[in-house]
This record gives sequence, structure tokens and C-alpha cells, in this order.
Amino acid sequence: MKRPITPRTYLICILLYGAPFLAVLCITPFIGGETIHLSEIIHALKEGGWNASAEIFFFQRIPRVILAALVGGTLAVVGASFQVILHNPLAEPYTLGITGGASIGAAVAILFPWLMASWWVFNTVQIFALAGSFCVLWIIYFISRRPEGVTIFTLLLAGVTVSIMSAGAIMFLRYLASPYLLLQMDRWMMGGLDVIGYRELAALFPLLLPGLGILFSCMVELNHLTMGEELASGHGVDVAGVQKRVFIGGGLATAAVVSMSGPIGFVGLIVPHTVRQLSGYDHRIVLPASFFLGGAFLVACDTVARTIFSPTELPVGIITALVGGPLFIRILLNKN
Amino acid sequence: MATNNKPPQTLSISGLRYQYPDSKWNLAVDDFSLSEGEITAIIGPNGSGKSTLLRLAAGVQPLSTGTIHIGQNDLKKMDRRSIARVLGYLPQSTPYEFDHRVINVVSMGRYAHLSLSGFLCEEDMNIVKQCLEQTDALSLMNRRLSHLSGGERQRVLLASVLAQEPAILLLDEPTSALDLHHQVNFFDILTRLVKGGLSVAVVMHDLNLASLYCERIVLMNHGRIVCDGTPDDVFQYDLLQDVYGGDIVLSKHPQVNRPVVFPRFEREN
Repeated sequence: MKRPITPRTYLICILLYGAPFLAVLCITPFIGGETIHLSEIIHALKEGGWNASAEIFFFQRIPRVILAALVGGTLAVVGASFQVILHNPLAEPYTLGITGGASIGAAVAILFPWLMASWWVFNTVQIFALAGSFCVLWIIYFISRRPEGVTIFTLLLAGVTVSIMSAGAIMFLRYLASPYLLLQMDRWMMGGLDVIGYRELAALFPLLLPGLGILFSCMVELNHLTMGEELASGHGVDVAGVQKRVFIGGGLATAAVVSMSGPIGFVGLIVPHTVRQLSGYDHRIVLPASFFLGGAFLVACDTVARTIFSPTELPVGIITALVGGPLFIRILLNKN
Repeated sequence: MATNNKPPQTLSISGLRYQYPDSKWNLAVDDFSLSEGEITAIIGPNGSGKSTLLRLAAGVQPLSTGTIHIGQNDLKKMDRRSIARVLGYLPQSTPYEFDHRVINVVSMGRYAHLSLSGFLCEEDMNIVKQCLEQTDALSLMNRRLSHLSGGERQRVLLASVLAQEPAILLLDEPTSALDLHHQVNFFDILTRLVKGGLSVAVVMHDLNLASLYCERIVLMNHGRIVCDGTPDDVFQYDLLQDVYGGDIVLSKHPQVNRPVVFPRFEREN
């Protein structure tokens, strides 16, 4: 009699996703527009003689790869969780309108440069984007709150409505903006992963870590929710509690990521589905596997984005959509 | 049978009142308790409050007024996991979007007994296997949910609820979408289960099936229990006529001494 999943098979499965992820992380910093020489990096490490290769490698490439891995991984994990609690295969981290809120915040910060509000590790645009995200989270939570938990249907509709309203608000802000600021805004809206050094990277963690922690603590319960709230509740799952935790955890993680990199679409939608096609519907596997695959995918896309038209960079969202789309369709066709 | 070593637990309801926030309709059940080792049918027209009663009794829907006890314990003071260890609830419908394997679905029933990681040990696995056997679904173990027929699917879901090792089973229209043969098959399984000591309440629409398989029938109308007794008590011409409306004919099953009911048939020409 075979058990559905044992700790051993589980570990093997996670390693199968983790190993390629680590491989991508190790290889991609060496790829880019500027050629860097391994010998120079080793020299810099050994003798302490700083040089251009080491500078690019340690302060541009590595932080950027780490950021892409975290952003891609997080978006995929949040997407996987939201698809379950919202009972909607089209759900992704941005479905609840968090990006809309973040974009308004960022647009306001860019439009009024005198609003200097950097604090601790966060810069002004980030703080406004975070504030926007939290406003949206609070609004949709307030709308869909019920004594027995949140109503999923209302949550979904509220999220979509808030997104549409945000789009309107952003158009208004764009109308006010001068061409130079407009360009800056557009760049933010397209999403990007340019980061220099580690201080900016640190701004990700205060919200990201608790957010992801909460989501990963719900893996078993997410499996139950795939069978519907009532059966899950009958099986002994605190459904309202889990919904709330996923909502808050996913909200925190998405807000952290979006305030940093702007909206990067598609990863949160296709990566979880790809994982489910490859290794089934057990969310104890789907969540970590989505993190690894999403991270690796975004790192790879970003490597292409910053290399293909070097020395200029393409917004990474263009690559995720143009490369990810056909790949995903290929996987769907395979299944049939 | 996995439930043999448990002390008998009954479900008792008193002074229950429930109202949905957006309607005047209300449910009022003053005193009701489930009989041990029997199948109790809960019947009544659509909107009579059967499913609401079952959901409240299972603790899936929060209760406002009244008390529900499982054995000596107040349902309100129990957490979900400890409720799930004594009470199994099968809802009317479950979504299909995620195409799990049968074995995984049945394993989910062990949730209330497991540690946080959710991995099953050898003993859990034996229980899962036993439950699949009890519902004649062992051969379906490695199939996917989307590849099952309606009857197979219901048996698998029943097995997943049985894996909780409950003393009480509450089933909401488990056979409404099944053909005659599979309905009978499902009730044969339930009959075997109650012989093992389970108490079962089934919300159902098929009155004749209720009469054949259940010792006790609870008839509901407009949120009230209007009759609670043996099939012979409930199958009264005036009573059924009044509750369901439309003219009916009462008769006896040709093989056993149980009442059956048919709609009166008159050709219109």
C-alpha cells in the first residue's frame, strides 16, 4: 500500500525544484551586457584589489538576481494561494487590486517630488506604494468582511473593482504629469528589477518574510480548501481563519514585492499552474515548488531583459509575457 | 470498524433558532436528538430548513441562539478539529477545479488527527484503506476525481469523511444526483456503517428510499419539525399532502411492510 506522500518523497520533490533554482542563481550573475572576468573576481576576493568586474558582479548582478528570485518566487506563491482561496484559476497576486493601490501611491510620489518621505530602509516611492497597497487591502477586506469570515465572491469583485478604479485614478495622475515625470511613471508601471547594492534589497524583508511565513504555514489547509469550504470545515479546518491568514500573508508579501519592483505580470498566474501540471495538486509541494520555479523563471527572464538589447534594458514584464505565454500554452497542450 | 472503541456520542439540539440576515424565514428546533446506531432521514420540501439544520448541527455554520451538544460537550466551545474527530459532515456539493487523486482526498479526512505537517503514518494509512474498503472504493484509490462517475465520487467523499473516525455522520443529499442502483448501493453502505455503531442523519428527497432504509424519519416544513417518528408515523395522507402539496397516493412496498408514496396520476384528456 503506497502512501500518498511521505516525508522522503516530499523532500526529493522539493530538491528536484530547488536544484535547478540554485543552478540558475549561480549561473546568471555571470551573464550580462558587460563581460566580467572570473579571474578578476577571484583576484578581488583573494587580494582585496577591487576592480570593475568585481564591482559589477557583487553590487549589480548578485543583488539583482536575488531580487528577481525573491520577486518571482513570491508572486508565484501568492498566486498559487489566491487561486485556491478565491476558487478562481485566473487569480494572481494582483487580482485583489493591490497593484492598483501601489501604482497610485508610486504615481503620487513621482508626480510630487517634494514629498520626501524616505524612512529606515524604504525610499519615498516605496513608502507611498506600500501605503497605497495597504489602503486597498483594508478597503476590500472591509467590504467583504462577514461574521463567518470573508465572502470570497465579494472579495474577488471588490478587488477587480478597485483595480479598475485605480486605473482611472492613474490616468488622472498621468494627465497632470509633465512628459518627463510621465516617462518615470511609465517605467515604474512596466515593472523593473534594477537595484544597486544591498541596502535597497533589505527594504523587501520586513514585510516579505512575515507574509511568506504566513502563507507557508497554510499549505496543508490550502489542500482542504481546494475541496470547498464546507468539506474543509467538516474535516476540521478553521476555514475563516485560513482565509484571513492567506489574505493577510498574501497581501503583505505582494505589497512588499510590488512596492519594490512595480507590477510584473504573468509570473503569479502561470507558474503555479505549471507546477500543478507537473507535480499534482498537493499544495505542500505546490507552494515551495512555485517559489523555486517562479524565482528561476523571473531570474532567467530578467537576464534576457538586461542582455538582449545591451547596453539598454527591456522592462522584464515584456519578456515574462512574450516568453512565458508560449511556454505555458505548450504545457497546456502537453496535458491534452 | 474503526469506531467501535469510542464511547457512544449523541447529537442533541435544544432551543435552536436561526435566521438568515436577509429574510424573514427562520428555523426553530426546540428539542431534537439523533438516535444511536440508526439512520435518521431528514425530509421535507425545498426550503424547509433541512440543510440549514444539518450545517448548524455540524458547526459549519455558526449558531446564534440555542445549544447543540455532542455527548457532554457544547459544540460552541469545541474547536473545529475536536468537532471533526467525533462528527463527520458531507456537504451537498463540492467543487471540481482541483483534480486530486482519490487517495489524497480520503487522506484529507485524517486532518483532525494529524500533526501540523500533515504526513500520514502507517496507522493513518490503514484507516484510510479501511474507509475505502467500507465504501467499496478501494479499487479507485489511484484514480483522479474527474475520472469518477457520480456514484463513485460520492463513495470517495464518504470515505474521506469516515477517515475522521466520527461517531456521528451528517450527510446532505448524498444520493440526489445518483441513479437508482447507486442510491441503493449507497444506502446499503450506510446500513453496514450504522451496524458498526455510527449514528447517521441523512437529508434526502426520495421519500420511498427513506421509508425503506431508515427507522426514523424527521419531516420538516417552513423551518419546523412537523413530524418525527417511524416511516408509518410520517407517511400519513393528510400530513404529506399538507407539507408537499399536490395530491398523493399511499401504498405499501411489495416486498416489505414499509409505506411508499406516489404522486396521484391523472391523464389530462
